[in-house]
Amino acid sequence: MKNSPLETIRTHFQEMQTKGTAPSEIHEILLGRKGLLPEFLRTLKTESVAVRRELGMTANNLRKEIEIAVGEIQDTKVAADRITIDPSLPALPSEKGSIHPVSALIKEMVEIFADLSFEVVEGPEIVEDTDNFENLNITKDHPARDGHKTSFLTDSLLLRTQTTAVQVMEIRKRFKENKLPIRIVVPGKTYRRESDQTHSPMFHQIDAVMIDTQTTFADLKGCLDYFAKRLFGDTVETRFRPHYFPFTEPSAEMDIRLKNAQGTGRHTGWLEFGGCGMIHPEVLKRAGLNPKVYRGWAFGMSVERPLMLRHQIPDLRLLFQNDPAFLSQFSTTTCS
Amino acid sequence: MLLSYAWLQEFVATTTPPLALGEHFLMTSSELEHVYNWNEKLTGVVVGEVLTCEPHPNADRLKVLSVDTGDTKRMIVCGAPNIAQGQKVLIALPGTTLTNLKGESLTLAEATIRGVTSQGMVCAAFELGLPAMTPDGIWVLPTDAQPGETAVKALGLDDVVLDLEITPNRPDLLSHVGLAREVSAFENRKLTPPVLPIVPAGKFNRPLTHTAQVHVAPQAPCYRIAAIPLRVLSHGISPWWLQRRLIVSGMRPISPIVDVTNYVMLELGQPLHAFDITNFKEKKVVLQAEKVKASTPITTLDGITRTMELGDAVITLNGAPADIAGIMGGAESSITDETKEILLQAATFYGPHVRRTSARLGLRSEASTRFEKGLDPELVPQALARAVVLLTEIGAVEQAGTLLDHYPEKRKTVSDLCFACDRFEDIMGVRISITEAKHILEKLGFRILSTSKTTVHCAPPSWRADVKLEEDVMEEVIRIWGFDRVPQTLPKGPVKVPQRNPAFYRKEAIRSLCARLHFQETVHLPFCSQRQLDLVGIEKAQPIGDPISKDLAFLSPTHLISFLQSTAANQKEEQTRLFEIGKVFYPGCKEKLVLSALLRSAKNPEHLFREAKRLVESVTGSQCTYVPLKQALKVYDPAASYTVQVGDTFLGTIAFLATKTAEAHKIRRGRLLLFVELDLEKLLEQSALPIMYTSPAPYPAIERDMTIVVSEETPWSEVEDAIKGEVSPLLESWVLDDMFRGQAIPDGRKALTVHFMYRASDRTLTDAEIDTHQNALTTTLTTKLSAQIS
Repeated sequence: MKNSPLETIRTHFQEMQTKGTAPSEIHEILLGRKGLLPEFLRTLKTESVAVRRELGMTANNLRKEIEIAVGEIQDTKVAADRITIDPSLPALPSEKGSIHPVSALIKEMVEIFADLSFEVVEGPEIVEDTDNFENLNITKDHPARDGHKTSFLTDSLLLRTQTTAVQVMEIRKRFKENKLPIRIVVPGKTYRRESDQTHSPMFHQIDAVMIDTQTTFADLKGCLDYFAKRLFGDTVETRFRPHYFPFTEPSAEMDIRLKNAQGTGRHTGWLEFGGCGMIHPEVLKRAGLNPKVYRGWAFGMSVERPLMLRHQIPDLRLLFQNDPAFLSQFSTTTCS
Repeated sequence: MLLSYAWLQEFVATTTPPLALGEHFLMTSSELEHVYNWNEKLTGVVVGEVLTCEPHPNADRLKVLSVDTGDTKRMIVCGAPNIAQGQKVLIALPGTTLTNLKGESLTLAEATIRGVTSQGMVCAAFELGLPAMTPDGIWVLPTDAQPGETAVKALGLDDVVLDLEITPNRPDLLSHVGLAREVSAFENRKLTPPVLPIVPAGKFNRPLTHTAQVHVAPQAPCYRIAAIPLRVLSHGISPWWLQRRLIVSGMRPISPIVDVTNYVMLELGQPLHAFDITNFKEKKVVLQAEKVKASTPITTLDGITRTMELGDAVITLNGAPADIAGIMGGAESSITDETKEILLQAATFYGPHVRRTSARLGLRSEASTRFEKGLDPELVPQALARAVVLLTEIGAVEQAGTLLDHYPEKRKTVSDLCFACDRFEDIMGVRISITEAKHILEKLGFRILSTSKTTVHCAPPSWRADVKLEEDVMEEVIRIWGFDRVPQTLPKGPVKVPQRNPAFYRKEAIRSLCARLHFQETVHLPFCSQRQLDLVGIEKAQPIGDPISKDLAFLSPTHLISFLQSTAANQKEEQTRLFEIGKVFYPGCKEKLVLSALLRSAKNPEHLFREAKRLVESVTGSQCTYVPLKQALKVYDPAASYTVQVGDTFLGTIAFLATKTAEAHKIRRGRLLLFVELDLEKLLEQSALPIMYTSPAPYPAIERDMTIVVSEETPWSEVEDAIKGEVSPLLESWVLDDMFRGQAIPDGRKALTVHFMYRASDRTLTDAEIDTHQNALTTTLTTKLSAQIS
């Protein structure tokens, strides 16, 4: 018996469709809060479960029918039973948010070392002369200080010239906590008192340190080769050549050569990648370790150099001018 | 260090081509910076024989020459007074470009000079750009020069020079003999250094009119000082073989005595200095290395007067400073054409001391770059002996006294270091034979003390003061043996799970979050100028000692300064959303990690503020309260600056910038600027709670919209308080959906559309249940806030 109100609503709906009543009006009259269909449904509350189920189902079907019709009538070009679109319409504009390429690369580098079981550590940017130099076997008036044009804030405090400044304090701390082997990676800002086309008074470095009772120069080469290949792909070549750092012995400079890189004369396609070596016994001693028992290796490099290489950025200064048009170019790297 | 390939071959008979040799150096000790191929220089300049030399028909001072340039005979007009028939001279052929010593370039062409065609130019050293000392006029070559031969060949300049970057621990490599020793080690060849005779002692026929003594004063930063009295026989110019060695090494020939001191320095690595004592007033001359006791001026060779400070080292002549120790000689005792008697001196100064003085004076010289790295005191008598041999050979001097030498305390070197194959393998990860190790050490000049099957005991040579530890010996072996022969492995050992650094990863998550909220990350140089501080109204910031420029004088106490600076520089965009994660700095050398953001937009301020709040509350993970700022910076709009708090915890600041700010910073007007700073250190301290599952509600929610029209004076928080006050267990959430003014809304009022969600966990709600709450809420809002509800 109760079926008839639904039939009435259906008839009403069909009449309105033939008349060409506006879809919004159809919606309002039939489905709106005070529409005919909701009103009918409210009357069902008093009915038995079986009746409610049966009529409810019919009512829902009708509701769907109306909804489809209301939706479809809005666009007369669209056929009633299929979706037609213009797939060549442009994508919605992408959102502007972006992560600075330096941050993105640091994260990537940290994750590569994390895959080799290295833990990330960050330290202060204002450090003692001792941490930046003395503990790294760079005494006052050491010629190696020439390469580190330093900004002093007081007689003993300075802006760290290398992330290596964090090394000794961290090794000492971890050794005390008996956290051997130590495998840490230290990214961050560093400062030098120089500013020109190829030097920025602030730039980023990343250091990696491993300490154990058993680790070798061969491990150093292996880890760094792995690191370079993860960054630049399997085809990258690496080479190690002697160098001098007061805090490593032996010390090496690591070069990489990208696939198909060529050159003439001294430009043989090899690019300086980073400095590394076995940690100097004096540095181990200053961290409180017995160099007869413990050994380790350390690696440090600038973040900007491989970044510029990877994205072919011609001028270091572009990185810190923060032109939104520059920053936007790196939005795709944010999801990695 | 400029290494002449030809000079090197005097000491080691390498056949490796220069470039390949440079590669070997790169792979064993010193990086190759540049290659100067002299064979590519002076192209188009050849030897010509002057066949005839006739007066020019139309000019008194010019000559017309017929010159044999090997391929042909050329007619050349020449104005040099010293030109003569039979001479071998250098001819620049037409088409040649010459750059003279002043740097002026000239491209030659056939030219008619007063009616005579000249098919080239006869050259003087100056015109060729060579700093050679030659008699005035055109350069007359020795008679054995072959017509047609290239100039570089005829002059013996057919050399290749490698510019090697010598690391600071290897002063011994700042010499040709030192580099030859490296070649002898990595190519396994014999080293043939120059013979160093013992300097004759005893009586001399013509001793100097002065008696001399050398002395190292107590506490002087000097290991050794020595000198030889010499009588000058002739001045003039150095022979060409000596000059050309200096020229390719980048030095300028000056006079035979000075040239020989430079030659010996480039050959052996020991700087020398000659003191003119010809007219010295006192009979006895004491050359003493000492520290100056008070500020003293000294005029150096370059004519500049410099002040020596307390503690600087000098060499004094009878107490008067005559030389800045290890850096530069004084003008007063320098060699002139009148010099008849000299003391040729050599010394070993403490490296760090020379470096300090040199850095303070801003004066670096060939000598100071060697001394500051620490030279070998054994070189002192050797270099003097070598200089005397050379000076005597070229007839410049004769020895006029015994070698004077003061070496009060022998510099300590390590006497016994052990190289052990096992330990080497332990550290390097590769095993090498004891025979190989021993051979490498011998080639490098180490004295072998004893050998066993797996060990070598050795003493480093006197010039290797940098070798102090076993590890240093290992490095010597491995670098010559070859870094590239070491295998590549991964660390061995038991499993160890690394600890995550939660603060780092949380910071990275915040960075991604900001980017997802459409902010662009910036990285600025954290420096600022006094002017920038003044503009934002910050009185104190941490200054940097001796800054490079005014713009880099302080460490920035806020990212706002950088944001304003780069916004002014990049105004192409209609609107920007920037954020930065980094340290800011405060006086007292304090640093703090903050997250800052700058929103620049033409939107309405409420909308912009809500956008900033979305950033803040997404980052903090909780609803914050915003309390008006009591002490706003000068750049903030005092009526629209707030602290950000969670409970009582201060987390940061959010502030609109005063409209004047944009103008003062040259930022285009018509945009709002909103700055946010959050204390990231506090945020990173919070550890993220583990996510615990709750089952999703099985029953649908019922949604209702309500438009509440209230007075402009009524803040949202009061509306929300009213909603909160009307407690209902069914009300799940609400959100401010829209806000509008005007049209149907009377002036001074605003309409807030709030979207409500109702839900029960055990049933589908009925409209009636919700109506009850909505009605109650309507009543509250109407009575409490005089709201109109629709």
